[in-house]
Amino acid sequence: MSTLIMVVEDNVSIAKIWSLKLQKEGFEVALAKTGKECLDSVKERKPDLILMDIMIPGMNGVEVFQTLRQNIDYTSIPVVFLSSSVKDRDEIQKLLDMGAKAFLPKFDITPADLIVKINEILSPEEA
Amino acid sequence: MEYEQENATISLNQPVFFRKSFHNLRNPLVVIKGYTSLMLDGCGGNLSEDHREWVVDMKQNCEHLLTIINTLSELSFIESGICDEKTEEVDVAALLSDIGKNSEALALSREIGIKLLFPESVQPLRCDRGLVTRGVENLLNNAILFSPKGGNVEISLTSAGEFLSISVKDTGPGFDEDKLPQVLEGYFQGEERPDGRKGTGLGILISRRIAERYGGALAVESTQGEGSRFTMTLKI
Repeated sequence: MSTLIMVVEDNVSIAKIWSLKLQKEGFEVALAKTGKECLDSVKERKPDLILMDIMIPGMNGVEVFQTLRQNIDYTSIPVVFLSSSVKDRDEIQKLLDMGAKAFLPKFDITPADLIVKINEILSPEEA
Repeated sequence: MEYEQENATISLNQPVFFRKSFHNLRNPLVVIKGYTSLMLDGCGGNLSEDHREWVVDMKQNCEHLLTIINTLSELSFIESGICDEKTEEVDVAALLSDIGKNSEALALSREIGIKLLFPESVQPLRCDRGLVTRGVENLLNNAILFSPKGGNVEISLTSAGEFLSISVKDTGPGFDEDKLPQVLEGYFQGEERPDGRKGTGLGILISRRIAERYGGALAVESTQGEGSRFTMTLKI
């Protein structure tokens, strides 16, 4: 079974950009526009990694992450936060202390950078 | 400045309002930058030489606009004063050493040498470490990016009375004397950098605002063709 990346992103265009690049690199992609969709979808099939936007409708990305962390079946899923907002050092450190694998500012990274980061997380020995 | 929207008064100096507005301004640019990156990666098929050049130009302009938005966003946070929460005692000499180390890769890539000149001991400064770092980084990165290959950048720290002075001196193109007020106001866009990109000029304004926030000022001395020295003074 191929590696499944879940993209939690309410902006359709941004979700499409990440998906196109991920699929081109051989990943399978599951999309969720809200936290609820993410939590429902995780029950169907556990992703190998979640790309989580922070500002999404309903529960925000951090709340979805905390909900996932409360279920022992999902604590091992690596979560990468993405945001169009600028976060300061302390805010980023808080997310990492909570167990997030990375925080990436959307405006700074390209789809190619994202793939590098995902590969680093999924196969650290090869990175 | 205030205006009414859906029966709610929104004050334009509210950090939350700014945070959301800047987020909304960035998102469409993230999309444009994303698609241009995909095109350059060949995701939509091969591009002709002309098309590639145009897309590179689009991507660079988009990144420039994102830089302007990020800088304005940063200025709004500095002006709003929400940074006071993280005030701590900072060893400025150690802080400058860290900033210098973090810029080594950028300097090396442009064959620029960085020299640090510090006194043996300096009184600690009560400040927001991230904010002062940002102020100095702006000056240092400008100095590196505008200096020609083989140039030198000097960071020095001095203490006089109740003020600390952090100077960043470069061997870049310098400014005409009559342009110096515009430089400090953030209105001046200098000539193209050696890497072919243009700055926004707003980074200098951020450094100035940070210095003013700590009871100091930003000063510039410059000789065209020889280089510039920017000095941030901060009240201890």
